[in-house]
Amino acid sequence: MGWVAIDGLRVAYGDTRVLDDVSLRIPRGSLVAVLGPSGCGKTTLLRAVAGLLPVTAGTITVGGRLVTGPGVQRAPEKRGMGWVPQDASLFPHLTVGENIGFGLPRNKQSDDLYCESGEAPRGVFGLFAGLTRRGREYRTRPAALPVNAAASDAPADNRLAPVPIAPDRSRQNSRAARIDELASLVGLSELVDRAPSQLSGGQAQRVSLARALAPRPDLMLLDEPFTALDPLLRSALRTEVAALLRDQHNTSLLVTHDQEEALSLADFVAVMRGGEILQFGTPANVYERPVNPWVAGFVGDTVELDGLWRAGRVECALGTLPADWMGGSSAPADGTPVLVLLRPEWLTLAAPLAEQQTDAITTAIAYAGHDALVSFTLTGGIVVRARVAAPGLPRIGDRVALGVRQNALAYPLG
Amino acid sequence: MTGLLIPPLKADAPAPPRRPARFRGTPPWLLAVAALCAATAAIPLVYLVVRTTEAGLAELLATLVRPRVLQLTINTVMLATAVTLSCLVLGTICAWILTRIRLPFQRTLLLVSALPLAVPSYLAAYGWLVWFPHLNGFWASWFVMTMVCTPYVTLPVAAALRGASADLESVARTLGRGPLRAFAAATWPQIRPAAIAGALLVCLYSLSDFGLVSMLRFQTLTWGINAAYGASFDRNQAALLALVLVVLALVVVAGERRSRRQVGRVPGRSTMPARAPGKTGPLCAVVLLAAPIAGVVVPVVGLLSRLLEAETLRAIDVPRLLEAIAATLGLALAAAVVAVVIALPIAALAARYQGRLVAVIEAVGFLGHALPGIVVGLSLVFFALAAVPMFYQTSVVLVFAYVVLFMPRAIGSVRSGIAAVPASLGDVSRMLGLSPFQTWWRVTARLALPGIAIGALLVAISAMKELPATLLLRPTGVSTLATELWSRTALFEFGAAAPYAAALVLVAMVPAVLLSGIRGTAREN
Repeated sequence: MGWVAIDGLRVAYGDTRVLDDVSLRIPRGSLVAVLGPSGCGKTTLLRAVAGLLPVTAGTITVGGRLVTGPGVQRAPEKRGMGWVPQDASLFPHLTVGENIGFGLPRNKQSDDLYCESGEAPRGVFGLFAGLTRRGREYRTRPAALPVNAAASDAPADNRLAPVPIAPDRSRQNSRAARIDELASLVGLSELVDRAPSQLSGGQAQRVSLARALAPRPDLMLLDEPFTALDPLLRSALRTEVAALLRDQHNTSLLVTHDQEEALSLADFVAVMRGGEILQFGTPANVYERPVNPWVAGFVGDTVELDGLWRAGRVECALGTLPADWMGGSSAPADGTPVLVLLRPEWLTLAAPLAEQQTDAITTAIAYAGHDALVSFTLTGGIVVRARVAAPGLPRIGDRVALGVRQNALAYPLG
Repeated sequence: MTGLLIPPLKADAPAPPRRPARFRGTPPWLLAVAALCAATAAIPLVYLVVRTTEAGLAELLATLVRPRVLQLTINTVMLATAVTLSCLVLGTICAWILTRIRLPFQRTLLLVSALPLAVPSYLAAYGWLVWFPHLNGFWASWFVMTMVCTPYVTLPVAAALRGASADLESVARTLGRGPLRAFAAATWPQIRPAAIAGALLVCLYSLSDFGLVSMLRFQTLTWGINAAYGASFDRNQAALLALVLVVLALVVVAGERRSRRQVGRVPGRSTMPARAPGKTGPLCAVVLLAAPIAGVVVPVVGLLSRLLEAETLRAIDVPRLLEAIAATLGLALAAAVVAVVIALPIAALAARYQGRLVAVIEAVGFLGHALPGIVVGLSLVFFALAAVPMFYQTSVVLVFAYVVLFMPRAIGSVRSGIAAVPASLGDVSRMLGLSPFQTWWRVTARLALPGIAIGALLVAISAMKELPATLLLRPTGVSTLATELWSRTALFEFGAAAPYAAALVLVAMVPAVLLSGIRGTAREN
């Protein structure tokens, strides 16, 4: 079981189902990206987790406590989650510092206000860590996590080891100190007295992140936080943010339609389409072993060929290639037509000694500096594209030999 | 030609839009509160219908076809139609001059052309009577009313023209249309909704106006209602006339709704290169300044000339004047506060949620917009006598009448104030641990404050100037500046009326000045 467990989540408006039986596990301390095209329901999923919209069926638990379930719909403010919306959404009437401190209790009295009824301050906040704002205040998490838990390929069980509640070190951390801490964390210490309107897009998004982190949420929800930024800034900021979230050992759920973003940032990627999760796995798993051709095409470039299955190999225009059957438990009978799928970078040039190779003529080159996507016409007029590293590109009209580096993927037709 | 107006298909769909607010479901308690608030606005109309039908249908029809009633109705319709048409033409021309011709002092000119709005119609009529005491009848009423109402068309049309794509007109020109036909084909459809909305305001204003037509002695339904009510032995007659007037107003509103065809916004350069005035400059200036001069300068100068006469100054009853000022301010303030409080749930609902029920609640809240002041006044007289006699002839009923009449202004500006606060800020605040009410207080209300304040001030200004409802409902012994001005003028004591008119102009300026201040700061933020 993950730190966050979503089970059979369904959101429907009348007859239209926006989310259909979505189940997802988020291991503690990891960043999970939900990747899908516009309108696939990923933002709805995020809002349902946040409690900002009611669900039709299903349960959501965070750290073992039920926040959404049959008859349970905990208010968003009582879920202990952080929210970073697409457009930063800073409060325009507050300074940067006040924005960061917005979710922090203002003083002793208002601190008590955040406790739920029946949980008037008692000496057992540790037991209720995460349940109340005050409980969260008393919890420290970063130091408690095993260091190797952050590595993406560590066995999932490792991350799920119960985390001991550390003694409350942040008790003495006053509100102002926490604001300063976060402002310097996101590198904006100089700007705490500025108005949000004086910030650039990237700075605003950092403040938004700091604001969400300030109350030490159990789960960070990031709703395409980088799409509104220009491309150069986007890639720089997202690397920085991912590193920051990892340093803080935050459990995060990121929603995006940008496959590069999902693959490069996340520990796990969930590919979503039409309200359903099609595949959940590590970025490498999703990219190299996509469950179906649609997922393959959505997360990256593909080379698709018709082929015939021959006992662990496929016959296709590139020759007879070793292949993995992706269509279910048992491999099909020999001679079954299949769809052969490769990544352009799995094709290699001029490897005359390679076991498998095919003659091809270079017909087009899409030059991209560091590499190029080169189109080759095979005998029979079939065109395939290969990604070729930049120095030593073939020229148009060159006759080359094509090899394949990795087992091809074979999918059932239709 | 319509092909030109179809907006181009979006080439690439933008990132998925924010989930519409309706997806979150309307909270039932907000619906209930808003419905309750809107229901208060429906009291006068409902009660009027009840009161009229009590008399019986046969008698109703018999009264309806009396020549007297017919004559009043025809007069009213004639005046409203004539004023609406002339305002539409003059206002559109003024707006076109303001936006498309490079005149000196453009910003000042825009401000000046809005000025007649600040002058209540009866004040303008008074001002003209000071100069020409024998002015009366249809043409006089038509002229003064047109001058007072033109800005209702000028301002929205000028705004629409500034936002309209001028590229379309250029395209039409290159395709062989002359200037006028190009304007009609390309630009008019874009500004038509604004022009019609403005014309609706003019039409409702002239239907429901009481002070101006009474002073200029042109007998319309409002005049008839007041006369029948004053005669007091025949209050059924007054109620019936009021009902006829309401039906006329509702027909106008319904007609405007139907003709409000939505035209998709056309992207493109919004500004047509303004051309130099050339020889037409003086002519443009004359057209532009006609309404401000006739609607403001002539009456105010007339007023001042009377005010500064030694005889008038000597006769000013200072305690009485101060009393009237205090009553005016107090009533307006009370009306503003109550109207905003009642408008708040309706505006919050309309700003954040959609749906049939929400639309109905908002429409009922806007009912006061279509109800003439004299009708609300009359209906509340009946209502107070029958339902809450202890409040009859107290300020409570009068304030309530103001609230019903002017709540639409409050709803409008409070709603846009709330709608301007991004819903995502509310989400963020909830996610940071604030309850819905804390969120409302610390985020939404805080940011919508300029809109709320504007709503309150608009109500205050309108309440200060309101005449017929005040006349019918004011508590005995209480008079406001408007009623004092009215009773002096009715007796042709123009000199004695002058101090009250001047005080009214000055007092009404206070919220107007505050208003421009708020708008200024709101823009800076």
